[in-house]
Amino acid sequence: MQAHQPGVFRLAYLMLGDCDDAEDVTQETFIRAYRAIHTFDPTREMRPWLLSIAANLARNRRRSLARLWSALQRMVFAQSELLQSPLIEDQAGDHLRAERLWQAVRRLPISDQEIIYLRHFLEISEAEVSQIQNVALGTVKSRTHRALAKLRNIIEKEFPDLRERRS
Amino acid sequence: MSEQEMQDFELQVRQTARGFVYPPVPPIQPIQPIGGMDKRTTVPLAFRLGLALIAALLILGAVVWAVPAARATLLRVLRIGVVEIIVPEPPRTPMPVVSAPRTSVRTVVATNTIPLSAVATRTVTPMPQARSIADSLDLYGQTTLEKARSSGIRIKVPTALGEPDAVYLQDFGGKLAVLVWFEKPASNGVRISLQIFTRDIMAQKMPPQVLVETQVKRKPAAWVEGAHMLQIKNGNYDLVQLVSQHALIWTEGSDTYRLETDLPMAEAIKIADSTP
Repeated sequence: MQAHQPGVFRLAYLMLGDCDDAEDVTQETFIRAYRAIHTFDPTREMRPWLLSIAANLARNRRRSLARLWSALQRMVFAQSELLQSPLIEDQAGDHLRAERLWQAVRRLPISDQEIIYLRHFLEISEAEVSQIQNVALGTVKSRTHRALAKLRNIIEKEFPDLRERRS
Repeated sequence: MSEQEMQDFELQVRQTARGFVYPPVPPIQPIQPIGGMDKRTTVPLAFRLGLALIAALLILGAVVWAVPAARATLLRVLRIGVVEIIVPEPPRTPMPVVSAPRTSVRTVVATNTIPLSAVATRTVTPMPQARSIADSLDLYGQTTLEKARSSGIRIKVPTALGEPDAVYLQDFGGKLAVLVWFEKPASNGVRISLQIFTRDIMAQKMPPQVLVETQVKRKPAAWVEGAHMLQIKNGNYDLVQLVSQHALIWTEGSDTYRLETDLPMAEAIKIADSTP
């Protein structure tokens, strides 16, 4: 179970954008998993189960007023970074492009964010995402398509620096 | 957007996301092994029942305390000699000080009195009108200081007051001496009265408006102000009286002294302190 800590923490961090919050969610995820271990089907993969718990906890945490305040702060921060984008573009490496991509994803509704984090940041298969979100495989496909379309629209309008393909 | 464009964009997103630098995974606090988690089920049933009982009692106590009517029934008894003063515990609000007019003159009206023998019964209806205890005793059993002392009751007269103007000796199954000092120059009003209860009598004061725990000659004493019920009784007698004046209660040996007056507490204590 401990082997899944990085994945759980990373999903929480992507969804919450704060290291301390992500750590709390990770801790809580494993506490809940231990308490509910008797309900876990050992014939199934453990990672989807853990990520499902983590996603739920992260979603709940985002709803709090504290999270709202943090989100407002991040929005202001993102706007200031947007103004500095030419400088960033000049000096950026892949990690800075990835950071910009994250900022763009965070403009999406949380459900769209979640599927992009799972499919494209953590590179989890559609089948596993269907287990995490407890939806059919076709639903995962359609949700992914819809989220990517929205993301592309945001990048076109707000993150033109990301349009250039870097390979 | 064509399907191909979407696939290209998806590939671009995935490649870009691979460059994302995640913070290092913090050390997660070790979690108790599953066997340890199940330990809660091994706690003895009796222990859990005990905890539940304690919790229930605490909740019940809190509920009772939260209800003013229930809280008022939690009484404290302050005992000075044979006098018990029953007060709510704790006082819900600071009790106001009732200032009594020092110039008031009390008149003993003979026609409005009840002989002590008439109330020497086990059940007596409280009188609705507040009076001094000397009024209610109706000056029954008047005697002299010497004769009262010779009856076996130890009577110490406060030197600050001098000789009493009148002395009464009552028998409630136990001895009760009443010393009275009249208003001067008029002699028809009671200025101060001092009741001396022997150990055979029990007296109770129902909640006074003001209660101050104080000392007389470095011994516990009580000062009460405002109208309050005074119940004097032993096995055969039961006198209930609504008393209007302030009172200072203290002990002298095995006897209990009750000074009834309109004077303020400090002056009453001075008088009591002058008791030899």
